[in-house]
Amino acid sequence: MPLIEIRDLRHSFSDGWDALNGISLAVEPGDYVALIGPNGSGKTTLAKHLNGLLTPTSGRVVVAGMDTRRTDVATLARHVGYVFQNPDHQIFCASVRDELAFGPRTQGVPAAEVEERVAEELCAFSLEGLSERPPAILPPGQRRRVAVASVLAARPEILILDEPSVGLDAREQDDLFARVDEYNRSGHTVLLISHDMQLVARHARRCLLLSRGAVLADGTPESVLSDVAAIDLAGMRPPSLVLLARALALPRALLDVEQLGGTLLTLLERHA
Amino acid sequence: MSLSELYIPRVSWLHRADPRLKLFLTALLGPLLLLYNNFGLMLAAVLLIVAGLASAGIPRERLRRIWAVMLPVLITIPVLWPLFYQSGPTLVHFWRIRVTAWAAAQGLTAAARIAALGFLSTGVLLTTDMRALLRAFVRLGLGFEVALTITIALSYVPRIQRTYEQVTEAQMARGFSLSSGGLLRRARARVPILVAALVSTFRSAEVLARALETRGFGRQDVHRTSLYEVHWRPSDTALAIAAVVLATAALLARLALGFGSHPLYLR
Repeated sequence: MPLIEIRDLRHSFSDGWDALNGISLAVEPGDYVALIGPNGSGKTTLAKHLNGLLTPTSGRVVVAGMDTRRTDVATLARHVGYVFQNPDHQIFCASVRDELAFGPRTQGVPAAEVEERVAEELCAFSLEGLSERPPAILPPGQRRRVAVASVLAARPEILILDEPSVGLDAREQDDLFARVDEYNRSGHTVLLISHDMQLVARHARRCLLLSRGAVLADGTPESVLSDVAAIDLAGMRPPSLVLLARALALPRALLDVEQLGGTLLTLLERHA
Repeated sequence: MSLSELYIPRVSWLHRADPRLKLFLTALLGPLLLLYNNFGLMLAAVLLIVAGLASAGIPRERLRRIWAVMLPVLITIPVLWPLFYQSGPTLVHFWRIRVTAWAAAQGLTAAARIAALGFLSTGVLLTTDMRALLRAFVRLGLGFEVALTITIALSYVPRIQRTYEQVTEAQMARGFSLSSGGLLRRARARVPILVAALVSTFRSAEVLARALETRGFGRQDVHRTSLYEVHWRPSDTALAIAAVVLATAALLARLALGFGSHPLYLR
């Protein structure tokens, strides 16, 4: 049974803008799904339907067996963790430790387990030295890590990350995704919203391309990101490596430099 | 729907009017609303201002939203008024609370006055582009820096509201219930939201201040040019004269004849 089931989802805002125009899809437990698409394509609107922040104008969204129209956000929050684009919108506690403990406490997790989870996430995100500091005054990269860690500490079945790499340097990004990937490997479902196609290619196992509130392509990151026609139609630019692979008439789509190097070496060896 | 963007672009008599006229009318009518103390007149003023805004093409949904924002205050005032003022004949008496007709009418009058002032001041912002308002302030003699500071502060009102809404969503997504429990519990639940919204707003205000400085804001040695200009038309003069005549008549009626000083009776 799918963990997320969306049937003919439509959503119109009060100003008349039709943000979602009949989306149907299913996500299995443990999946790692990336949502890509240009600004205004409906990625965040779709994600907000999964924890009940938005409810369908028509159609149906069922998450962990619950119809989001009939379930309040607080109940859905036990199953769906949402990391917002701006970490400042989530952070309010007096210390990093309290911030991480907030989610599990709200869910009534026993104190000993809360402590355990907090220690685990502080370590995973290299925040141990900052645990007693007010998170609001930390630099942007650290605030982002606190925001993700505080959502993960609540151990949601589904983790939604909305543009999590913004403001992070390469090292911070690697650390963050090391933890997110590990969380996914332990059986949790991850939904990643990003404009960074390299990030999507490196981490997700499924990719949905959205355009004007509809799914334009659905498949592996390799198949979707190399679908130049669909990406063009969405008004986006295909990854440079995909274009290079096409220009060189390489036999397969390439999504990172290692793949390109390997393919070129193989071809050179063959020709030699 | 939110008040995210206060200004609503339309082609109407109120949009065409010079922003200086709208500021003048607000400055003229505001004190009159404070001077009069009659529920019927206040209600008439509210209806007149709302009708004026509707005739300028302000959508009913936006007007409804302004009502919704003011509603807690509009309810609280008439409820609390009778608890503190108990003069005059009793209207209702229960437990230790005595509600007099005068106090009830006075509370309703005060609430209607707040509504009238609210619509009057929001009306300027709903029908005036911020660039035009900035120019109007400059033409009225305020320095550009002061005028820009005022318009930025005004544009921050919807920005704060948007931030508040975003923070509310973020906290709800963390399992925060804002609708369960009693009034005190619900009020306490709002504290984290206010903290996060304030921190976020202060941070963006600081960034904006630095950005303005780096763009040469406050430079004294250059004469600024302006891309936008406001124009005072003959119709603005006519409206201003009519407003002054009416305001003078209203002032005389109130001060010389005692008209509209009682919350229930006109004289």
